[in-house]
Amino acid sequence: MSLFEVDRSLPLVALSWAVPSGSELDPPGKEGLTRITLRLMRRTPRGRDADQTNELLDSLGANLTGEVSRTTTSLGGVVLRENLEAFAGLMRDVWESPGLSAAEFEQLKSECLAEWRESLDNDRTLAFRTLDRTLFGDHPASRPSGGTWASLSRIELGDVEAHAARLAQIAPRVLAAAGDFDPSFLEQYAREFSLGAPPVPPERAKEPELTLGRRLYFIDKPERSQSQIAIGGLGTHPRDADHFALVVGNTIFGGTFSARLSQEVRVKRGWSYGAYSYLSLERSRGTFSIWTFPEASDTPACLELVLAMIERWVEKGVSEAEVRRAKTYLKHSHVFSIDTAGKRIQQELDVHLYDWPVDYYARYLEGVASVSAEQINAALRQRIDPHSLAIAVVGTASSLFGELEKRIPGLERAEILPFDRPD
Amino acid sequence: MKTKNARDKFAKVLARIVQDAPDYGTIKHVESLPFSGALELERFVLENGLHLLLLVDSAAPVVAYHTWFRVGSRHEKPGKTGLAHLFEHLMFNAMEGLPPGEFDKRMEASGADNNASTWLDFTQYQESFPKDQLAKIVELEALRMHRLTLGQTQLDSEKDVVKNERRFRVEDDVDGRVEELLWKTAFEKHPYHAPTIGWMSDIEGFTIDDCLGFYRRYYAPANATLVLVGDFRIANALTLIRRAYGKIPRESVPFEDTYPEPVQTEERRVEVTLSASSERVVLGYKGPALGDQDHVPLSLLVEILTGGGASRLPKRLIRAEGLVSDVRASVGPHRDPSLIEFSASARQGVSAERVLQALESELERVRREPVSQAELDRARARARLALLSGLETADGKASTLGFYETVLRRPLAAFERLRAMDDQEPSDLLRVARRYLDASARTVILQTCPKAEASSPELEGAA
Repeated sequence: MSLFEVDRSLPLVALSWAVPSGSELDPPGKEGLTRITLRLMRRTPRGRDADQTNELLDSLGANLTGEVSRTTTSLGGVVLRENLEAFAGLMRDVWESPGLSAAEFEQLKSECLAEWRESLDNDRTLAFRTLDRTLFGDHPASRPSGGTWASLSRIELGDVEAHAARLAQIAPRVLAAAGDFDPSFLEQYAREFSLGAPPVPPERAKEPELTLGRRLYFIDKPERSQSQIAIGGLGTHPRDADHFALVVGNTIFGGTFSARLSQEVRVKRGWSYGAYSYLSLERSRGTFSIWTFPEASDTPACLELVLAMIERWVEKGVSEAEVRRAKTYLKHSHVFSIDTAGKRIQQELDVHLYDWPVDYYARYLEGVASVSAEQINAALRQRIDPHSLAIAVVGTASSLFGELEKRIPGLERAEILPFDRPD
Repeated sequence: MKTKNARDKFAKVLARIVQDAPDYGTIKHVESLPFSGALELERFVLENGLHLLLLVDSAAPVVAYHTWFRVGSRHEKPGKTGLAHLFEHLMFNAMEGLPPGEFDKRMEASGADNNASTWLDFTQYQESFPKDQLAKIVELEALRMHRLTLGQTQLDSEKDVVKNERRFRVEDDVDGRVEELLWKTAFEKHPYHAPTIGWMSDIEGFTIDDCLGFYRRYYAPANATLVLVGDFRIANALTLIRRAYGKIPRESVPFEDTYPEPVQTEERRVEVTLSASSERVVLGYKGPALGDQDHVPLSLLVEILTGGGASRLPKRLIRAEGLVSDVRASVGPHRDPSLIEFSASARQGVSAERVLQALESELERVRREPVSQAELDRARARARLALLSGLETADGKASTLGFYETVLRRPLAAFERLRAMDDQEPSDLLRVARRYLDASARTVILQTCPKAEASSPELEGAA
């Protein structure tokens, strides 16, 4: 399948290949395999080493990166118009002649482990990584796409070779392009490239289920002057009848600067530089999550406030005035999700990769405009359980953990995780 | 580049605009500048000194609206650091006729994606919105340029927010702390010494009078440029802007009382122990100002050293020797001479000293022998890709124009720099390497870890 949009305003072309499977393919205990496989494929096409590939990309005026989510894998980048043909050839080599040399594998594995270790210095990453790991219990959705120290350590070249062959067999592959190009060239390219790729439907995990109860995961790190807080639970899916109601409801709660969270946490109390909530969209039901980062001494009160706000939001609902404001904002700001050819093509790509309704984006404005406060309140009660949340906090446990245990109502589980062994 | 044709093409429009509303002062067309493709940038100036840069680009039904003030943390005095940044936060609060919070609500009702930033040389406010919302945004932005109101409650709350921002970006961020220490050590006299976010004790001390004084001094029309990019009609935009801003009085632009940094004649080295996953090295060589001719070859040299996986330092330090997990470099894009920075995060078990030695040997190599033509060509291609990629949206174009207008007074300097890159030879890069990568004019920060963490075991057993 090919998705193209020609836009000659700049002499650039964005080109990507994607498949509808991702880290869900990682074998248990070898989390990160899909990601490391794609990175190695990108480094060693047609027997090159990484230096040769990188030099070729730079000489073309191009960048090329791989992305792995739980259910998608993509390889793409941007190139100067005049070098599209060579760039497209290189991308084809990545998929069809991935090389995968032993020396480059050892190099890459070592780099991945070093990057994992360096990520321990980013407190926000630690909070969200822990949230992702704990939201859905043992469900595959809780397994980290980037891997853990232990899982990355276990991956061997043979695993990568077998996995690259498996990735090459997954169909449908989707080619997406936006920018200044000749469509006939890329149509021919897509036809040739797709040959020999038999459709193998990817295996699918069952839908993640809500883990009941409030659980606190405290990532203990010394000398923290503030805490990174990530809270999450189950969210929405574009196929839900109440999907747009939840989108508007989230906008009211934490989707903008004027939303409830930012007003209460930042504007009224000055407790945090930011306080927002998010709905992620995936092939299966996505997550509802919250992020804020107060000073250490304000953390218990801030967390208590946010949890009370979630309860109030779900139990008391939203007002007509809030709904009007949120719908107006979503209507007017929608243009920024389609203001470039690249964004428009990405929307089409998402619909195909995630198996969303084909008219999802076409119906977006109508869907948002049609929801009422009553529908939003029903959706909140149906989809958001304020008493079943994972709460990840990065801070210094000696000064905070005990207080948080006391201040979080209905806490069913609380544990301390050392920051350098959060897995 | 003022052309007769350009003057003529707006003469009638401007005459009509003034005739229709004579009380809002004059408006002059200053110049037409070719942008890229068929697009043309137009510069106008109001009687009160406010400059307008207008670029009509109908690629999408949106407008990017940026307000750039020529004030940044470079204008602050010791004891008052962070004022420009704190004030940027306050610009989202109350205005005459608009209670706290109303500004943001109205912006959001227009679908505007709005934000702001402060750095050493500038403060900028930006919105992107659907094109039919232009009139509302012009009114709101003009209002906050001259009718902001400040209350103690808002100031106290915003000071707490900024203190938390500082904890986020500096206190609890190893890279942020090391970076702050580098600039503090490298600059002794020049205001680049102090961080834009300010020292914590200074943030705590600001009063309403500090803020109002800053507003009156620096938020004058003659100290600002509006940059509009997108799908609008020039005559309509000029009419709206003149009516909204034309009656703001002309104020003199504040005299800048800045000391140049004395020449650095010996290396400054600081060792700091921080709780972190690994050790780090940051080097700061005294470099040229953005407007200096040497900035262009130095930018290419830095691209050859760290721009992408094929550049020299990642090839050697990450791949060949496995010493670091990350290495970066930049040439400070600032109005006054600043720093050429190199930073690297050591892998576990590798000392900052060892990384420093490897960095030094690669820097010595570019001082000793010219780079290859192939490396130079790749660096140029990467620079071109980076510039073009930044121009994809109306907002990206406005950011590029506003930045160069404010720092260099040349809004199209990004394109000038790209053309200048084509003229550089390996010998130019060798010259600037020898001139600027001088160990006696550098500052070195070596960040080590507490002993227990430095010797912590490998995480083999982690689940």
